[in-house]
Order: sequence, then structure tokens, then C-alpha cells
Amino acid sequence: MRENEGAEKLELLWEAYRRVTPEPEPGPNFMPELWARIDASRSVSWVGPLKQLVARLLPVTAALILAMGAYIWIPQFRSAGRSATPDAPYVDVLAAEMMEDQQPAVWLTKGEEQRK
Amino acid sequence: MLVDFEVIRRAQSGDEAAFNELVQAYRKRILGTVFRLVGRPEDVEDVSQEVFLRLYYSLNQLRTAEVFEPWLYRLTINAAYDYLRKHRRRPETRMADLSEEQVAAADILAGSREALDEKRKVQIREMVGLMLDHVSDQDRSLLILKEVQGLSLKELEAIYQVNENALKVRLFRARQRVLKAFEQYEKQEQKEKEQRVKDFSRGRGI
Repeated sequence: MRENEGAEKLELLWEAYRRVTPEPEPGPNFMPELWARIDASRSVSWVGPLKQLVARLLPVTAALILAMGAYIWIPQFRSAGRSATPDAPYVDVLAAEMMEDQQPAVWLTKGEEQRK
Repeated sequence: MLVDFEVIRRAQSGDEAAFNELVQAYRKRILGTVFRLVGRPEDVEDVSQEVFLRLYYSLNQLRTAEVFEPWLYRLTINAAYDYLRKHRRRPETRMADLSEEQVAAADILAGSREALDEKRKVQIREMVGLMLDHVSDQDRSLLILKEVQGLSLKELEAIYQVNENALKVRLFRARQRVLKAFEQYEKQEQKEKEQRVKDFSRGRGI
């Protein structure tokens, strides 16, 4: 009962609101102002697409730089891991290793040699 | 429809005269809808122009001319949401915020019948604004379009792109919230009236 009463009052309020908010007549400058706004937004309308283009190109550029860096850096790293004379014949490599084996493991100082 | 589909198609293809025709046909209706949605007469033209600016730039996205009206309403509702979001916290001098002396002074200054009518209009707009502050922006627009603009459920379905049952449920809930706010408002008004009577009686020594 009370809810119905409230709903009726609310209905009256909507009706009153309808009456106090009639469709207003547009001012004489409505159309010129609208076209001025359209023209103003047209002149800066290239900024938006440019921003979009930059935003799309940025990750692609970063990925390209990374890929080029990797391309340049990885072969150098691989060659650094190989022996100093990668293209030397097997016999020369073997001889160099034997020379290393023949050298004394510890160099004796002068005093120690005299004591011996 | 206030214009032929052909006018919409011509406007879509970039015909400025057709766009002008479109704006002239719909501007009054859009001004009225905006007025009811935002409730501030001083900003109605600005928001309405924003609607037509958006229309100008998005006309080519419209699939068929037949869905133009619901689509224009959607643009209007979105522009009103954006406006409300930006201006929600803007301080506004309401009649209810003025002191008794200020109201009395305003009444003396503008004692004419027209001024009193205007004051009453402002009060109704404020009251509805207060009621609608209790619902979300979406429910606010839904209530305005249904209860004040008098749009049918079919039209609202096309605008909000939801089925009739979902709309009915949302409308019911929104109405309940507004009704609750309305009852609270009435209680508050009643209390204030009683307080004024008491103060008046005390002042007179009754």
C-alpha cells in the first residue's frame, strides 16, 4: 500500500521533471560552433594516426635491434670458445700440448736449487 | 525516423549538406535528452555538440541506416556519461545549500511570478538529480529514457543491446533504489519542516 503510494508520488515527480525539462531550442550559434569544432578536430586529426603508427613501430624496432645485436654478438662468442689456432693441423696441436707437458709444474727459486 | 535513410547514407559518404540536414533534424531531440541526462542547462549545447562531433567521425562505422536512431542515442548516453564523470565533483550552488536569509533575499530580488516558477523548476531538477545520484550512470540514463523520455522497451533493447527481460530486471531494481531515496528525502523534508515550526514557536515564545 505504502509502496504504491511512493510509486505514485515518484510517477508525479517524473512527470514534473518532464515538464521542467522541455526540449530546449538550439541557440543561433549551434551549427557554426559545431562546424568550428569539427574543423578544429580535423586539423589535429593526423596526430592520432601518427601516434598509433609510432606505438606500433616501436616494439618492432626494438625487436629488430635485439635480433641484429644477437646476430653480431653470438658468432664472436662462439669463436672465442674455440682454441687459439683453430685451423692448425692436428700434428702441430699435439706438439704444442707435449711441450706444455714437458715444462716443470713448479719453477724452483735460486735458493732452493743451491740447497739441492 | 526524422529523416530518410537516403540522407543518412549520403552523410555516411561524406556529403556535408546531408550531415547538416541530419543535425538539424535531430538537434532538438538530442538537446532535450542531454538536458534530462545531465540536468545542467548551461552545458546542454556543449554536450550536444560533442554528440554530433562524435557522430561526424563515426558515421562510417554505422552498418545500416535503419539502426541510426538507437545508435545516436548510444552516442548521446556516452557523451553524457563522460560529462557526468568529469563534472560530478564540480561544486554547484543549489537552492537547498543557501541559507534562509539568502533564499529570502533572492525571493525579494526576484519576487516576480516568473522568478518563482524558475525557482520551482530548479528545485524539481535538483530533487530528481538527488534521487538519481543513488543509482549508477547506466541506470540513471535508463530511467530517464524510460520514465521521462517515454521510450518503449523495444527501443531501449536496441539502444542497450540487451534482452527485454534483463532490461525489466534492471529497471525494477533502479526504480526500487530511487523509490527508497525518495522516501528518505521525504522523511528528511518532514523533519526539517517540524524543526522549522519548533524554532518558529520558540522564537515567538509559544
